[in-house]
Order: sequence, then structure tokens, then C-alpha cells
Amino acid sequence: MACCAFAVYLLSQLLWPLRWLRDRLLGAPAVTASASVAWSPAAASTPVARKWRWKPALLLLLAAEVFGLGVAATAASVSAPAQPSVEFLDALHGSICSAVKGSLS
Amino acid sequence: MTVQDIGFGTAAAQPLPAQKGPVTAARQRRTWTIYAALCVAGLLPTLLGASASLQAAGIGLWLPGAGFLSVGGWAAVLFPLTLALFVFSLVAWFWAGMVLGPVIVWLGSAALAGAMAGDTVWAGGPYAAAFATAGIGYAFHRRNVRLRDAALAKIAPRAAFLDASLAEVRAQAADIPDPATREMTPTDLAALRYLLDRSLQPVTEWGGFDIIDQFQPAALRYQLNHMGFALGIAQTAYVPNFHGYMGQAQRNLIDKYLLRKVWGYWVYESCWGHLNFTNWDPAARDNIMLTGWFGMHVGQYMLASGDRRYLEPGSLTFRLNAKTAYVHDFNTIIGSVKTNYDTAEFGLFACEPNWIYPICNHYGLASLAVQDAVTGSDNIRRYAPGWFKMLNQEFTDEAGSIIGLRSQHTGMPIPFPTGEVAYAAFQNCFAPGSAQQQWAIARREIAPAIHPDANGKMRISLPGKGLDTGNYKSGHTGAFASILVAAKEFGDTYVAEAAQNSLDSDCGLEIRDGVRRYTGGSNDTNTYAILGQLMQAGDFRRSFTQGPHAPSRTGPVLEAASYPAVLVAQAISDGDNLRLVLYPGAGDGRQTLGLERLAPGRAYTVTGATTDALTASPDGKASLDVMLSGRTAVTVTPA
Repeated sequence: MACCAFAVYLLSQLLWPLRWLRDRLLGAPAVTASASVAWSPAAASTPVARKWRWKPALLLLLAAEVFGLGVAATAASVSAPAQPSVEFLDALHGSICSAVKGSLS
Repeated sequence: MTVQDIGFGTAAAQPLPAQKGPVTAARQRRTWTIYAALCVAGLLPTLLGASASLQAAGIGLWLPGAGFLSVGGWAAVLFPLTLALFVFSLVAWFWAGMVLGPVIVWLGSAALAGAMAGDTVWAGGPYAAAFATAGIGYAFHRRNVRLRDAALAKIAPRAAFLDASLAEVRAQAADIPDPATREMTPTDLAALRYLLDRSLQPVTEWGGFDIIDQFQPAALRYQLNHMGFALGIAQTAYVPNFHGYMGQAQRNLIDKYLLRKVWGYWVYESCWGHLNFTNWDPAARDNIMLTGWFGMHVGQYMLASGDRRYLEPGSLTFRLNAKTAYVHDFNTIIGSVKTNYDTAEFGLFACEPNWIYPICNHYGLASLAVQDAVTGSDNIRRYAPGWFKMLNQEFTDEAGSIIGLRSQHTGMPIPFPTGEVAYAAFQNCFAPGSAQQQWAIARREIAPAIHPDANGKMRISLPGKGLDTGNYKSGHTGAFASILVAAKEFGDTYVAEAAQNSLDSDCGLEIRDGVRRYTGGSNDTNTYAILGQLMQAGDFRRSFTQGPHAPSRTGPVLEAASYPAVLVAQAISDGDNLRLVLYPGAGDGRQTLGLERLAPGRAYTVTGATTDALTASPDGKASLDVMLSGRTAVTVTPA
């Protein structure tokens, strides 16, 4: 439901402390030689793009976050039916998320 | 007023006094007024006893997430999370011009707090929110005081060394190399091959480039610009009379730049930064990180090569898709820079929407200097005085240093790691006096970090792990390379040697298959290191404002040579002859060279080739065979 961008920001922010903890507990990953710099014409001519190895984990976390937000929003609307929260969240979703998506498409 | 008289590095060298420019002050007043209005508006629902939802949402206007404090209970946990999220949204704003980010987080969290509020709010919420707001405000105030004190503490030492350092810089910078005898060393050629390997691949291929994001310093556009700068300096200083693959490499980089893959970021930044969903012309509003840099790049190529193709209308067209293209040429790209300067309230204008980087504006003003050199325009005389006035007025801190980054909308300065080292070489393109002062400060402040290594070689030791802006990994390659470039530009051999030694010892130097590289750095910082390695005093300025040694511009040229079989270390002319120094790049052996721009039908004597005479064809062409083995000097002289 509401605020896809908000969820993405929140999730990304939550990853920072985890990264900090990883570096403190396990040590920062060793600096490796740059693959792009090591490239030569004799090598394969494919672009050297960064490999997002944590992408599946990120997608799982993102899905969990969106699910959690949905549960929280539903719970809020059920527990306080007199409040205009459902309509408000609908309007919020329509005006912000749709606009953001529209600008990106 | 001449270019040399512009800026603060001319007469009695003194750091600037502390000041806040009128535009900055007005913009900051506006920001605080809006914030005060938000606070008042946010307090009204509480004072008027409005619904709990409105009260919570109102408190949320004081500080991002503060509304959750009014909601009370476990919702209060969302307050610190939202603050952290707000910081992240500021980073997104900074990173990609996403103006909507902080607005969405702040107002969105207020709205969410309103939606989550029950029938009542926690009575302590407004007090807790006020306390948090005051605490954060105080922390920022303390930080600003510390930064101002640190800047003020620099004034006395700078004043003490500046005159003496400036005198040394002036003497060193005056020792420029003889353009008629310059020749790349085998080490230089090994570094140049790093660039040629990448630039001579097909335009749509990206082997050897870092492809991460297209918004910030690792973007392809910066890699392309810096590669072009380095090739342009090599062309200007060492091989002005070699076109062939040297020219092809530079044109390939320009062609790559026009691909949507490189400039397409502007589509997104226009949408979420300018709220412009229809016109994504990258050379229109803002975006000096493209127009200024690319303008320098293309202009330098034309100046170095004499090739004027990019003056033709449509020669630099940015194609979005089959239906839409933004038609430009060198003059319209620079025209965009000038149009933005004409209307810039701060005197300097933005890269990403809202963010004004003085370093990119140095590229911007340098691009105007290049246009002056290429077309004979009068930009620097017209624009530089006002530009410097605003730089000094709006973008200078208490120590006289240039502020790295300022928000156009709020007037707030943001810490950004750019110092005198970075500005000096670029300023040398349009204000040598001021540039020398920048370097006079930088070299003395770098000096404590220079010391002999275990072998007695001077080196630089920098604190921390460093940051390679070309791939966002740790490392000092970029910092050493920047110091090298500036030191070389001002003829400071002591600092330059220390920077070069540090690069060679700390940054993973590897020479493989005749190509020199630093495997610990990114492609972009490697490129900048090569730029520095190739330079001698004044090369940066000359390549953007003068072009090659005048006699070489009309003399014969080496037009055809195969790469990497024939490496060209020197190609120079006195206007009539052609002097080449060649090395084999793929083993010793016989190679054929194609010459052009000879006097039609004229006889020439030849040394260093398989023949000792040639006669130019009616269109001024000839070919020549040489046996390459080590350093091979070839001369072609009118008989």
C-alpha cells in the first residue's frame, strides 16, 4: 500500500547499520583489484558492470517490508474505523505513489 | 582587466575575510521563514484543540517523524527511523537531484502520523518534539561553530606562508617545456595505451569502464571527459602532427558521450528535480556537469587537432529515441553554459537540480575559455569578473577556501571534499594569478604529509582509507592523482615526484602487455593519474586555451599508423618538416606510415626509414616504410 518510495528509503536506511556491523564484526571486505582497470582488448568485450550479489536478499527484504506496511496499515484501519485513515491512505497512495510511478515510466 | 588580473591571487596575497554573500543570506532567510511558518502551522491544531490526527500531523511538520511522538506508544519508535530516513532522502537529493525525496519523507511521515493517531494524542508529544527539534538545532549550531573556528584557525598560518609560497609557485610555473622537442617516454606511452585501448574499441562497447551509476562521480561521462582530457594533452604537447588513431580515439569518446546510456540520467533528474516531464534536453537548464565538462572536452579536441567538425549544426546531437533528439553542436553546448550564467542568481549554476558545485563551475568557465580559443569569442572578459565576484561573495568560507557545495533552494552549504588542489589546475585555464594562489596554499598544506619512504624516495601519506570517487571503494589513487595533476601544472617537481611515488607504491601499479595501470584504483582515477603523468608545467592551461605549438598547425602530419604496432612518442613540425619518434607496440618489424599535408609534388629527404627520399603526391600525401626497433626517430624534411 502506501508510499512505495517511503518503504524503499526506510529499507535502505535499515541496511546501513547492518553494513556497519558487518564491517566491525567481520572486518571490511578486502580491497580487490579493479576488474575494469585490469581489462584489455584481448579480454572479453563485455561491459564491466557491478554485480549486485545481494539483489535477491534485497528483493526479499523489500517484499517483507511492503507486506509489513500493508499489515500495519490494515491493522490501523481495523482498530480505528472512525478515523479517516483508510481514505487518507488511499488518497496518499493515489497522489504520491502514482505520480512517482508516472514520472518514472 | 586581463584574465591574469581576475581573482584574489594577484596583488598582495591575502585570504578573504569571513562573509556571507547577500544571495546566500537572502536564501537562508527564506528557508528559515518557511520553516518557522511550518512550525506555527504545525502548532495550531494543538492550540485550537483540533482532532488527534491533525495534531499529530501538525507536530510532524516540526521535524521529520516528530508526529509519531504525538501518536505515542510504539509509534514513537518510528521517529528516529524517520529521521534516519530523512537523512537518506537528503543523500538521494544530493546524489541524483531528487528534490521530491525529502519532501515526501517529511510530509509523508507527518501524514502517516496523522493517519495512525487514535482518538487522542500523547500529551507529552509536542514537548518531546520541541525538545528534539531544539537538540538537533543546537547540534547543528555547534557543528557550524566548530567548522567556522577550524576555518578561522587557517587564516594566520596561510597569511604567514602565502607570499613566500606564491613567489616559489610563480618561479616554478614559469619553467615551461620547449614545445619543439617534447617526446613521451616509454613509461608515458605505456600509460597512454591504457587510454587508447579503451577509446579505440567500437563506440557502443564499454570494456574497461566502470559502470555503476550515472548520477555521481563514477558516472561514465566523467570517465569519458577525463580520458578525453588526457588524450588532448598528449595530442597538444607531444604529437600535434599525428592524427590517425589518436584523433579517432578522441572522436570515439565524444561519440560515446552522445549515447543515451551516458546522458540519460538527465531524463530522471529533469522529472524528479525540475518536475519537467516533457523536455529532457541535457544542454538547457542546469546540468553544468554535462555542458561545462563536455564543452571543455570537445573544445580541447578541436583545439588540439585543428578539426572543426563539432562546430557544424547537429554535430553533437543527443538522441533520446527514434522520434526525439536534442540537436546541438559545440557552440550550443557552450551557449547553454552562458545562458545559465546570464540568469544565475548565485552567479554560478547547478549540476543536479538545486546543487551548485563550484568545481563543476570551474569546468564551466573553462569551457568558455576553450570557446574563446577555438572561435575567437570574448567570453572570459565578459563572464569571468562577475563569476569571480560571486564565487568570492557566495562560495568562499572564512579561510578564503571555496565552499564545495551549496544548495540553491535553501542557501545552505554542504561539506563536499574539494579543496585548493582540485581548483588550481582548472582556474589556471582562465585566471592564472588566482590559480597560482590556490596552489600556493595547497602545496604548503600538503607539505606536512610528504616524507621519505624506506628507500629514501619522497612520498605522501594521507590519513584514513581514502575514497575512490570512480568506484566508491576505498583508496587514495584519486587523491594522489589530483595532487599530481596540480603539481605538474605549476611545475612543482618536489610535490609531483612525491605524488607519483605514492601512486606507484600504494595503488597497485601493474605493467602488463605494455600497458601501465593502477589496479587499486578505478578507471576514472587511473585516467586522472595518466593525465598527471603526461603533463609538464602549464600543459593543462595550454591544451584548453592555446593548442599546439603554432608552427605545427600547418606542417605535415602522420595520418596513418596501426595501433598498437606503431606507438608515437613525438610528432612535431616546424611548419615544413615532420619529426617522428616511434616505438614498436607489438614487436619489432616493418611498418607502413601514411603522411598527409605535405607540399603537393614536393621532394623530401627522409631519415630513419627504409628510404632516404620521397615525393609528395599532388594532394600532398605519401607513404613510408620504417623498421621499428626500440626508439626509432624518423624525419621528413623538404629537399
